[in-house]
Amino acid sequence: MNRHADFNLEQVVEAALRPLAPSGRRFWALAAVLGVVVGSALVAYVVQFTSGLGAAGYNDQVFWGIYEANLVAFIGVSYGGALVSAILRLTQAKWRAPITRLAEAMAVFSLLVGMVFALIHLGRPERFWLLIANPQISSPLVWDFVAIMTYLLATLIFLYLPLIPDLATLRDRLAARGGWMFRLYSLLALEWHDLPAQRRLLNRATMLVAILIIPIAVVVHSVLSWAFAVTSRPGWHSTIFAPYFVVAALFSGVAMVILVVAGFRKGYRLEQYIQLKHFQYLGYLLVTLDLMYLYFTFTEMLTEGYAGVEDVMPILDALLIGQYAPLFWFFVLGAGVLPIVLVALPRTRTINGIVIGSALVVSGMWLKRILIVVPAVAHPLIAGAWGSFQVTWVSAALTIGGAAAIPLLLMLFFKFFPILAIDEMAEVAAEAAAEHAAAPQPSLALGEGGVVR
Amino acid sequence: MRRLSLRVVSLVLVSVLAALLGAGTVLAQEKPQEKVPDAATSLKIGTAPRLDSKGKPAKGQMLLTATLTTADGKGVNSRQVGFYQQVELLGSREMDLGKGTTDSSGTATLIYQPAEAGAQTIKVYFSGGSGLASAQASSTIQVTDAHSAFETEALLLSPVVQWMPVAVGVLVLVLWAILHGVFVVTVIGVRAAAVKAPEASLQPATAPATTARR
Repeated sequence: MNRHADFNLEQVVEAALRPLAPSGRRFWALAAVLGVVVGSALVAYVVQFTSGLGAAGYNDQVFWGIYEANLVAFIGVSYGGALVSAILRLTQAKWRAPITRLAEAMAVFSLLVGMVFALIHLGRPERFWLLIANPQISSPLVWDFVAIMTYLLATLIFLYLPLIPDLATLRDRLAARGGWMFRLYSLLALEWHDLPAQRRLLNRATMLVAILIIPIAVVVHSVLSWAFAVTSRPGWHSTIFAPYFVVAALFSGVAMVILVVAGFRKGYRLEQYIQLKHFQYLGYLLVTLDLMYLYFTFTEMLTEGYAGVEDVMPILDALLIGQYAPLFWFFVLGAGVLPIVLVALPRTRTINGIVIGSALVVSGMWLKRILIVVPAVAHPLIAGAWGSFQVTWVSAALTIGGAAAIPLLLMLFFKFFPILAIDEMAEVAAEAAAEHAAAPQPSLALGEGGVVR
Repeated sequence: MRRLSLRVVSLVLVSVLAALLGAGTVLAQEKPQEKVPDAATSLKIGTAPRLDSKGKPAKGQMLLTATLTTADGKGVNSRQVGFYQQVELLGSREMDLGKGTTDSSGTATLIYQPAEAGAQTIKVYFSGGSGLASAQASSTIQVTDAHSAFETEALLLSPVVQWMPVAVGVLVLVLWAILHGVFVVTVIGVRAAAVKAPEASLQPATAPATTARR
């Protein structure tokens, strides 16, 4: 006999709209803390703007450092969110429904934060105008700009389209009350009434964007890697960089999805809808990507080390046994090996264990981006001593502020929009109900003497 | 007594003579020698076309000449002259173009391959020595035929390289068009479907609290 669980749509709607209700002290306290951190970042930026990039630890020799690593890290994290939602949607994975909204929103906001670091690292932000007014087509930075803007457009559309039915739900709930929120939702809901023609159009559009966003994100991270790989600088000039960056983006992105989902699940008491299985499935995906990334790292080290190219060996030495070795091995063990162990062992394959593993991945992958950028730049191209990059309070504040901005933006976003994809969850439940109805039920025929056969 | 006096007087006379001789020697040595002033020299800058082996002007090259003469107009030979160009590179600087040695007529020649056309300030210096005073001169020349020293041969892939930005640009535009198209078509289509639908079908999007079994 099959076991069944009741799926009450009204409860789903209530849970999805829980953040829209007036928030308690904990919400405002957390928002205030995050706001202060982001505010500190703004102060730090003013100091940097007036004093120059030297205030952030940059110097003539080490001209790329923490901001470039942040740019790659945050945009990379964005890809994970988009991919989790897109691939699960394309494969019609039923467990996707409670997490897609969080993943899609995280993709947008982490991308926006990453783009801000592109301006921060310029030093003189008005130079950004030259990218538009006088673009050098042969420059990978122009390719970056075009690719990232395309990706931003795709993620915004990918976030908005599945939101339309949920916006209609909000519109209908506020119809009696009216007000500016009602008008906003009415405008954004586009006269949605779940008509068959509307449903067909929306499904096709969502699937098309889900298909497109995957190669777009691959191209974005490949182009990001080419800003390093097409230079002749030892340590950067590597053919493996494009797939390396793509896998890194997926790896850190899936980990970030796990962290975001865990945080909002706890904050808004969504345990009924976001369950252990969601974390376990994401954990399996995380481990797969972890192994891929370790493989790419090993391959890169092996090919560079075996050939023993004179220019590259000092950088390899510095990473493996030199001044950057502690950071590198922390990344390998902390972000590479430990998450695999945490997910692999049944005892630690819990929500807490997977969240801890994900936190290690996010921090370790950020560190790895630093190790990609800084050692290659610090290594002298001609004679001379190694340069050094010192993290200052300015660069630290901006980095932490950027990291804090993502949950803050998500919290503010979900004050206006449902945190769960209501329509998607209803659709998945309806499909499950239809499957159950179509499945042959065991017959309870009564035989002679009233015995069940 | 008398012998002693004579000896003393002799000794004194000898001492005086020695002192006089020494003083004279010292005075003779300390007497400054008369210095012969360096002969004044002057430099004059000129230009001339450089001819190739067939006697035709070489493309993008010219001759810079510097004529070193003494005050009486005689050319000074076998002297090294330095040629410089006044440039603006992190401030006003003199870029070393090369050195030439003067011939019997006092003319030093340098083959000059200017990187850009237009007015250029050329300076020449003679450091002097061997009885000749130093000299320098400055002149503005007009370069009409410049030839980059870094011209490379066209690569085999040149057509690909030339058209690649166009191809990528078209691809990007197509992608943007698709994304915008999907968005616009969806927005218009959803609204249009609502307009066409009968009034009765425009129910609230959320169904009443239903229970679906899974």
